[in-house]
Amino acid sequence: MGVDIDFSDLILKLENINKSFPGVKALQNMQIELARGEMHAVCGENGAGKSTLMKVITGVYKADSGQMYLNGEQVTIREPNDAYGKGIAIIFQETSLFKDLNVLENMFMGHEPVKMVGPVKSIDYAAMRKKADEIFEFLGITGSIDYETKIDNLGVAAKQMVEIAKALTYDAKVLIFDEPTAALTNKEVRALFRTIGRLKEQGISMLYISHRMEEIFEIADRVTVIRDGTYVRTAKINEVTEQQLISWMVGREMSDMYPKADVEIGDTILEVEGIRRDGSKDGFPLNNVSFKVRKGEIFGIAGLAGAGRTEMAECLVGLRKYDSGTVKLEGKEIHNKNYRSAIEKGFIYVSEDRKKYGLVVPMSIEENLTMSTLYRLGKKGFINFKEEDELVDRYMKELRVKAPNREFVVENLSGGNQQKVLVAKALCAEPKILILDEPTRGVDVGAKSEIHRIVSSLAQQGLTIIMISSDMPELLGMCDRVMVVKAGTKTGELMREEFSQEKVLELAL
Amino acid sequence: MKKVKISYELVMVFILAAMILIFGGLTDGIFLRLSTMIGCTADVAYLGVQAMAMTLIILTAGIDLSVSYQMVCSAMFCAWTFNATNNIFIAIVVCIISGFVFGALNGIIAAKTPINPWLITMSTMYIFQAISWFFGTSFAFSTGNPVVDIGNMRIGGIVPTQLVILIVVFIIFYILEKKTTFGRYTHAIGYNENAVNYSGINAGKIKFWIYTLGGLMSAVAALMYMGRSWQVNQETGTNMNIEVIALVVLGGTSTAGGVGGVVGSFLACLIIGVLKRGLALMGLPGTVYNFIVGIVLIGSLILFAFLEKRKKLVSRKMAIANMDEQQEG
Amino acid sequence: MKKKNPIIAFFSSREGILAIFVAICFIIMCFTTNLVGSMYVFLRDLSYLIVGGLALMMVILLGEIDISSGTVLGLIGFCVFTLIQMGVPLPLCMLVAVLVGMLNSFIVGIITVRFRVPSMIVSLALVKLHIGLFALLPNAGYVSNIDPAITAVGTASVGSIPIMLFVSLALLALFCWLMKYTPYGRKVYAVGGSKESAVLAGINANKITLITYLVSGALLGITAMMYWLPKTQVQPSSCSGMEMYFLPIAVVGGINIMGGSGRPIGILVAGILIALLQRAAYLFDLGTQWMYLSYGIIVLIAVYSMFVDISFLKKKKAVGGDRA
Repeated sequence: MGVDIDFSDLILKLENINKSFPGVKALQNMQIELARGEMHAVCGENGAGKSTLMKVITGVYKADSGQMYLNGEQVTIREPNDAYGKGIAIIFQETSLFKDLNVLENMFMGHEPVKMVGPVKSIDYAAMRKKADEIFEFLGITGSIDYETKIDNLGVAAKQMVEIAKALTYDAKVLIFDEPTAALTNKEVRALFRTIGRLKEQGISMLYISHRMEEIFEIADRVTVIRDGTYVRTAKINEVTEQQLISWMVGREMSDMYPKADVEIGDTILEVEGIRRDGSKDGFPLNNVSFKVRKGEIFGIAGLAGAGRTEMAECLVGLRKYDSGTVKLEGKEIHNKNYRSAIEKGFIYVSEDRKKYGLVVPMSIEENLTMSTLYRLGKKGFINFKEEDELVDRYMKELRVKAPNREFVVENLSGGNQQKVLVAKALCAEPKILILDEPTRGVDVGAKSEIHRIVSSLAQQGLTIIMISSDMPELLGMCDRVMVVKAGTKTGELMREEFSQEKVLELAL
Repeated sequence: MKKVKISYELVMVFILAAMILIFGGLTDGIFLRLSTMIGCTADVAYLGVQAMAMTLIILTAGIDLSVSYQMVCSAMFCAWTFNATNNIFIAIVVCIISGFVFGALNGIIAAKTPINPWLITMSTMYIFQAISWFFGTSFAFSTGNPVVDIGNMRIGGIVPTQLVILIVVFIIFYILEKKTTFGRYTHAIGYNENAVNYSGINAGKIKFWIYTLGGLMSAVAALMYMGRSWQVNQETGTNMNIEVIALVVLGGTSTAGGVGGVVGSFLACLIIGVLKRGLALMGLPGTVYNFIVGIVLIGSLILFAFLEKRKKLVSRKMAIANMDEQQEG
Repeated sequence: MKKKNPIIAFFSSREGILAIFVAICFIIMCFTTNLVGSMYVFLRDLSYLIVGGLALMMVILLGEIDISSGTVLGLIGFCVFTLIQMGVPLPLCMLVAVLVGMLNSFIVGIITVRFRVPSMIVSLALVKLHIGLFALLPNAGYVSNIDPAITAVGTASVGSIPIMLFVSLALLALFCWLMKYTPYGRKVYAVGGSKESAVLAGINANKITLITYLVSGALLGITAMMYWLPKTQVQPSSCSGMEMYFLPIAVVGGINIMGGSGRPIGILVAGILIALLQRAAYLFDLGTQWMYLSYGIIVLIAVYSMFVDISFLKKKKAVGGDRA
């Protein structure tokens, strides 16, 4: 970006970082370096370990082993406070702001400037305002956000600005952005990039996590690729091509990753006409969304986080209410007033957040698998345990869930196996229409391709699949057709022949 | 290699046996007589009945602080109706219905609003208490009243009817918890209510019925209490809720939800029964028992939190082992 | 950035609307009953209600609770007045009151923090412990024949305004300042708002929780002194259920029961409301059941209103970054 950077003048360097969680080896011999004043992109697929690495740098997680050097000196960071004290700050994906407090209080939380009033320390609100003014001016956003506004009342982009401003109150020299553009509109992304440009001019070094190629090529100086928790390589951005980056990230042939089988596509099974909901209560409006899905098809829904993809799916299965519109299943108009009735009609929704909404993780595989269909086993509320065992064994074998036995607690399974249990739970209901929301979030690459294979074979068996994903290669690799939504409105539909990342992004932003 | 698994229930049985022997020694063998040993359960059976429903409530990560005044209020309704109509059958029906209504009131609020259960039931506790005071200060039954006669009866001269009722209620709740979808969902709600809703189950509806069951059991307990002590007064319910919760917590049910079951609560009820009668036989005042229950409750809370932590560590190791296995395989 | 008029801002806030309502109730009661005549008793009740409300406010701001805050008053009362009867000077006794309160709250706090047991259950167990303890105390903890000189300290007043009211108003002012102008106060809001975010901001959540329990305990010690000093005898068991005076004050005063929001000034307004209710029950000769009934209903409504959007109270608008 016009500034000459000396790549041997390192501000931050990490070596041999290892970190494991129950069920996942998140980082193995990871390394990364950051030069002074550099914008360094970190890319990798979902679940490659990018976020874990950043959390290790900022002391949220403690690495099992490894060294970290700051300005050439070895340092240990035990907790977030250490990182702030050393000038490292992170802008989190899920914002870490306190929603009941106002902008100013949030920016200085934990390190408020104090003055002495007589013998006692008192928070100096005037100094706070002054410093905030300085920072806002530094960012070039003076006056755009009222300091007294509660965080709860701010939009996503404004919250992010507050996060950046908060990081600067620590006099941060190293800033880490964790997928900052995931939920921003095109206009907001431009504004963010302007801010990042200003920060760079001031000599602040930045790590930037993203899997959006065009962003990386636009703003980064160098890029480090990681895959499956291991380091792949680092390169100057003007010395690589997008194709090279993708192949490093994926590490295997695309066809292997996305085993899409040819399927005879049948008649229209689901017809959605003009779904509309007033989102003023929860912030998720839907404006006149219509689409048709055919039997045996894998139908993708693309869009930014918060664009209304999940809400659309939840409306379909009766988990959310919509104001108007019609849903036709096999030509008959239906209205799902709750999820149970949707399951009865053959819908099933696999949630994006498997720990929060999908599975009851402290319970066994068996209990989870039959959770939504337990009432079908046995009579009058009494469980038929024999039937249940048989059913569970069948699906565990079919989906190759790797676990010692069916009583094994789901919590102790790896991410990929948990996801398989979740899919198996959906299949137990013998659905006609399977809605998968982010089916491969937080699973390793091996499990990812396995889940794709399962999805593909389900489509072959005649199941209709609606797939929601933020993972663009996944959508383009697996789907027959992709619908793009933006802020609750359908902006287009692409057939497999016309697929390209650019086209989808153009519609989504 | 298979380790012998010592379940918490088994430990409780040992504690129970040990306590009977200790009290037997301390009371010159009075406690070892069959009639004392079995008879002591009658003192706490009404608490046990309430504890059965409370177990389900706590399993859903909820709590019902209003149980005691649900009971007092139902009892007063019952006695008041009996005084007015002189028909015990109607009085019992009124008692059960009032318990049902009280429980349902808790249940509706718990199911329909996001207010914490303890806050809901603490408020309704004061409401029920106020309602019971509108009836008067105390009511008494006399002999010849079937509630009193049955409440004090001993089948075969040894087994008190109170114990029989407790065992029947225990068996019903055991089946409900272990063998039905209702019980499965109860545990699941305690662990993760969202996931239950996202499985097409109406968690609110299940919670409603659990709280309503709590009210019903309070009504049953009201009849048992009246049968046992012949009277009910304003002071009856004071801090009884803590005794019921103590039984459940002592029984190994986690207040965080999900973990535990009615078997533990049943055994805890027997243990407390022995403790209460044993202390009384040793000549200590009944209030010492209050003090000891408080200490036992805090002790068991700490113990369970500690055990839960250790269990987490073990399961973490299991997870890592499972992962390593997979990577090799 | 335009500044709003602070007076208008206050009266359009939750506390302000409540204040108007309370003022109306107060005026109505002045005219319909002999409230003016019993103004001294009203203000005396108000004094300890405010401090007790503050004590509960502190723990509720963390998203925790202390149900033993009622019975502990009895325990403190017994300890202090036994000492007074033994001839220990009053200032020392007050220190003891604060220490006993802190010890009790510390137990709740440490078990909650160390073992992650819900504070509701821990404090419930402590209630049982207190009740059991009262019965074990000599003469069931009953202390009488208190030196009139001691009682005189408690009942000292300027006109019909008790001296104690000045103490509690001073404490209220202190806490208004503490919560807004000290790093500690801000941290309490942070921990109550979100433990995870607080840890990310480098705040030691466990330490703040423990300190807050200690502060709350100290306030309970003061509450106990204010409650017992004007009385001529101490009967600990009469304190059970007093947490139900303080809890409504905290929740009606706008302290979010989930933690993280609420202002001390709300305690003053809600304290007046609850004191008025107590007086009303007495002046209208209604009996305690009406008081309990109203407390139960008030808590439910107050908490429910916190969860549900009351449109004229909360105007939601997205500032900046509106979704195109």
